Amino acid sequence: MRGGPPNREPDSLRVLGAWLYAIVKTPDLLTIDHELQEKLDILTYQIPYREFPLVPVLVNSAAFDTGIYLAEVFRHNCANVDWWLCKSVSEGRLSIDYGEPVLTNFGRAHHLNPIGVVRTAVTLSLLTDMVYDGPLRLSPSRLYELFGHWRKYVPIEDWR
Amino acid sequence: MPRLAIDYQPVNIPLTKPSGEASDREQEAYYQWFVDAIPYRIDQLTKLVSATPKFEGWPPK
Repeated sequence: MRGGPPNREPDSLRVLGAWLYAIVKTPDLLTIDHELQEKLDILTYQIPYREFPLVPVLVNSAAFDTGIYLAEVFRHNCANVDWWLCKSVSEGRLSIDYGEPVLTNFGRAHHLNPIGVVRTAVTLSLLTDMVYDGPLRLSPSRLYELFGHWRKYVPIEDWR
Repeated sequence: MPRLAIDYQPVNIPLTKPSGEASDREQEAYYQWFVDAIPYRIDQLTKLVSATPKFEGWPPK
């Protein structure tokens, strides 16, 4: 690890978000060694079900990892935010995040699916250059903006 | 030509169906796998980002 462990501070999301945008939007950055390509090919072949089949495996994995890091920034900075296996049922309907690892203690929002919000931004970005230009699409600052949006739900007394 | 780290291991989620359709037992196993994987995935992310041209300085110290 070149730079040591991440500091899990909110500002670290600025560069990480720019990186995620870059690898989604700049195919040349995804020019990879054949060894990694073989891993990706095997993975693509072996998984009969993929949640986001239109997203390249490496980008999907990068979005997954980025969502985890977004979550760890919250956990590092908020006393009561922690992982939880979502079992939410509201008015007899399962939450869209039912069965997923999510973060709890987001006030009136109840929980955040950090991987879900990052994947959604990436997926929309890949799908929608043609058809969608809304606020959810990915941009270099989108990850930090997601953090800013969701931090408003964390009770202020929980911030370290 | 830019190259990414060859030792990056893409995430391989141990589910063959949407998590919402999995049994309680499968969901619990997935959740335990996920929690255990967090440090490794952060390490993998760090390798991938720092191996990307123009982003070598991430993560910040």
